[in-house]
Amino acid sequence: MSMSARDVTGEIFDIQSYSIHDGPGIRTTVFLKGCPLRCLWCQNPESQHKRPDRVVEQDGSTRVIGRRTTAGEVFDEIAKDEIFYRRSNGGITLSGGEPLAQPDFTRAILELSKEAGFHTAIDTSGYGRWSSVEEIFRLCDLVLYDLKHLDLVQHKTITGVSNKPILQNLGKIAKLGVETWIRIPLVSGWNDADENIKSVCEFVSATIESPRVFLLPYHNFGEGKYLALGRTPPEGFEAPKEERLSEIKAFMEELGFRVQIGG
Amino acid sequence: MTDVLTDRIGRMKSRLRITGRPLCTEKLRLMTESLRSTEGQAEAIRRAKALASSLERINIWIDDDELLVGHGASKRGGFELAGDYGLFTPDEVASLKEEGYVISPKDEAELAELNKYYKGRTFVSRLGGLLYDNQRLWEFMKSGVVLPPWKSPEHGSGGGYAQGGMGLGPGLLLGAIDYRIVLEKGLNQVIAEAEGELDNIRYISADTAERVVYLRSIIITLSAVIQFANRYAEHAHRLAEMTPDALRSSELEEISRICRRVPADPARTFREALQSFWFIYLVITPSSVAPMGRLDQLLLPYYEADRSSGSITDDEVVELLAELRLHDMEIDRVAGKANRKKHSGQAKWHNCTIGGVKSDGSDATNALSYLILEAALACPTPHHTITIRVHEGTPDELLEKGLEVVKMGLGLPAFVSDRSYIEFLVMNGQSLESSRDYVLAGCLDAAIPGRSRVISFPFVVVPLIFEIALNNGRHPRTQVQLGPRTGELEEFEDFDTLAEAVKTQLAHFLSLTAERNHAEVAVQRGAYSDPVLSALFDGGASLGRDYLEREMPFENGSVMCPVGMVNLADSLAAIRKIIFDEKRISLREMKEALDADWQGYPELHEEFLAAPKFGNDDDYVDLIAADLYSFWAETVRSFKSPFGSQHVPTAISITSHWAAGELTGATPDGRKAGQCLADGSMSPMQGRDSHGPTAAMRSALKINQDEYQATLLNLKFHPSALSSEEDLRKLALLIRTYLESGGKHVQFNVVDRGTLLDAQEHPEDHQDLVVRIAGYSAYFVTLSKTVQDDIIARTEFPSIG
Repeated sequence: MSMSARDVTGEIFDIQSYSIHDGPGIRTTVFLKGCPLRCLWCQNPESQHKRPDRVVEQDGSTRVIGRRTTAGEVFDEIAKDEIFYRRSNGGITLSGGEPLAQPDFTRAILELSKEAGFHTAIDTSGYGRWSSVEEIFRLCDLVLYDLKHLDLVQHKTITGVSNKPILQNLGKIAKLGVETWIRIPLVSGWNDADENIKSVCEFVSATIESPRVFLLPYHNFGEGKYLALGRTPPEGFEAPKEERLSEIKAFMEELGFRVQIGG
Repeated sequence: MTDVLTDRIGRMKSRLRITGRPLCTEKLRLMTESLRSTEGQAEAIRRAKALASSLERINIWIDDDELLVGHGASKRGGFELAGDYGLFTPDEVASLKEEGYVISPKDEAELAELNKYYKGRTFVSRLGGLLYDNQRLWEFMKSGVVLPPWKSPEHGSGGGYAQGGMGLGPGLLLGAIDYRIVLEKGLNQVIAEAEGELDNIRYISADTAERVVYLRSIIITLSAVIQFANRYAEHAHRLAEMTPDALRSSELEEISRICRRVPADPARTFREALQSFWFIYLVITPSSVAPMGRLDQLLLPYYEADRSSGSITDDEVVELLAELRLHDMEIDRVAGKANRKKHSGQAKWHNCTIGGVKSDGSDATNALSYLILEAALACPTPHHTITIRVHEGTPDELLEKGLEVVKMGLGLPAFVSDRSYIEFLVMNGQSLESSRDYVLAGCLDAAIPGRSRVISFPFVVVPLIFEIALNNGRHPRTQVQLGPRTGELEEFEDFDTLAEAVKTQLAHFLSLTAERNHAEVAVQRGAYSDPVLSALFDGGASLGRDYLEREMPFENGSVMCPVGMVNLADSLAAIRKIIFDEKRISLREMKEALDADWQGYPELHEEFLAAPKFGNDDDYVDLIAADLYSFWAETVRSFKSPFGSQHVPTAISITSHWAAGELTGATPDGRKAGQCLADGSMSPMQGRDSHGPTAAMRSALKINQDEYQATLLNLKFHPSALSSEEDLRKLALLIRTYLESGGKHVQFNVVDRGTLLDAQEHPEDHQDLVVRIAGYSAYFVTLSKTVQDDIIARTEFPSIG
């Protein structure tokens, strides 16, 4: 085992075992802290800043979210569930925040996990410079890739960043031959209109062979977290109606996509 | 495939009475009348005649729509009374009425009259009468170390023990009879065997006369069982003649034909086999713990024959199996007041075992395994319960079908490990072949059909013994010196000395428990013989000996079960860390906080709550738990059982962790006085595991579960974790991994609305509750009230009424 990989440090805010919606089999999901995007409807406000956040619970007690740790420590925690991964062909998923925002740390955890023979996945917005993240994707057995909007201006409005590197990186990942599942968070009136759905589909079709797509309707389960952080929860966002979701699903299936609503 | 109620089952289900059920005194009256008229005759004969009298005279009826016939009570949904156990005193009757049981003035007067006969003859009074003048044991019986605490020789616990459920008693054995004897031979053949023995009897040994009497009692009772079936045959025939509906009339004629055939003669068809099984089951109940055996194996030959001849469809089989569920819902005996409170009056463990391996080691799963689960889906009643035996070759489909049933929120089926159960039986001297035929008796205890039965099943309150250890052997409330003087708190200089003192006290109380078990079996011997059961154990009909008098091939007659072992492990870990490692406070200061029930010690309470807890894969506490469980198993095995073999360790709490918690003061795991203890035996203390189900399993896997006859791990899930087929597949893999890696049992408590509401109000008790909705997972208690309300609103289950 590489000692240097074990010693790489990074910021995380949670490790969740028996994670069953983030890739195949039984998994452990590691949530890395810090994200370069600022999505208007973000439901994980505690994941945005790399530094720790202090939260005040409903009962008045305070708690710190986020801690600095080493890839070795994270790996040891992950490895405890090895028997469950082996039986289910599961493994680890790095999520966030944005794992690409801590490339050395992310790469180190993936290296250690690969060495141990675990299935590796990353849940990412895809936002990062290719030269610094290419190695990460090479270490992945699966990439869960978020696509929020195809229009550059709209994307910038919604997330605060350009979608140019995101779209380019997806193409490069496809060339590496790494299995990639597309996840589309859907918010009514923001990215569920025909035009965007069509552009997304065209892009995905052109980039990935027989794509697998997850439609994630918006939810407001982060509300309590905003309040605990002393921030105002985003307002006015809604999930598309059931009928609209079914329409989108049907449209994509027509194109030969494998589509699932929900994670 | 049928997964909705058929009209027939729907109508029958709507007739089920869940509340306001009547008491049935008729069986008790008939038996008592018989017993009064046979005074002076041999006891076994008197009891045989009493049972026969009830079977020959009790009111019988056939409901519209029924294809499977036979009721235990004389009224629909009637709660039966067992005279052998304890008395129904006026305050018991008053509380029954308060709780909505329907007792007519006539029945009430009759009950008072019947009570007179049983005074001094009940199990409770016999045991009390034997032990009350033994200062040493009587103080022990009153202490509550074994549930329930006794108050007087006549009353186990001011009514709580009457018709108990906290432990076993007459007719409440975990006895796995061999149903194949009935289905394959038929009772006529069994009677013929007993008669053959009688014909060849030679008076050559001291017990020959006893055998003669017993063989006669077998013949009397089994003949009465056949007579009982014939009464149904006649009744069905009469109804058929009166019924204008031609279809129903022919159904009734078929019922009549079947009841003439079985259980007297071997079953030939699926319906004959099921009816034969049901008649025998009726006769050995209303025991709340009678196992149903491996129904998918037992009924398979008949199912296959009928399917290949085309005389039955799978839909018809599901309908019959659903009818079995509805019939089983009706069987109940009244439990004592204290026990009813915990079980909503209707606790029973009628366990149907499916899946597993055949005696040659190959997979035993068959079409019936699935149809039994289909019947539970089609007819979602809480009884009968189902346990799936899991081995490497168990098809994924069976586990996933089982999880579909779990998803309905009924708390069934349970999943157990063939590897661990078979290993346990082989360790106990059983052949591999017969070990592979095990069934679950009661909640989860291993039993081999025809070859084993548990008579004595004490629940031992471990944290109370720990309190006694902290009190130098004195009971913490009464100050009576119950145990050896193992030292005052100041004398424990290090953790090991304290742990040693706790073990010394445990061993002492287990030795008293062993004595209690001997006494419990002794007072039943001769007094509560049961010839029907006894004839249906291996070689029973020719042996001519009661099941209480014979040593069984797998002799597990007397077991000992800890309650709250996890609380003890958590307590010792907290003491080790805070008092001996960190030297924060002294044991005496801790004791003061415990005595004050943590009142006035908020910071200390926090600190003890924050100490390592079992269920989070933390060796610091898990290894203490593992050591305690090994010590328990080894100590229990060192005591001789009343049947000549050794005591057997088992570890399930049923619902006794509530009653046990009420008797136990505050404990160093942060638990407050009177709060319930950890449930099961492998489950973390409620709300103290925060690392998810795999960590809870990893903690449990550090314990050697193979040496236990049963263990229990209960995991809580929100239904959202079981929403897609993919979720069920993954949960199935979680189960497999645990059961293949040393786990013995796991079951899933899919939380209901009530639990979520409680979690909103008492978040401290529900730290571990994970909810998953729309791909997002969170601990429920961390969500905002609005979101919690939203999730609660989405958590609706089909009603089980």
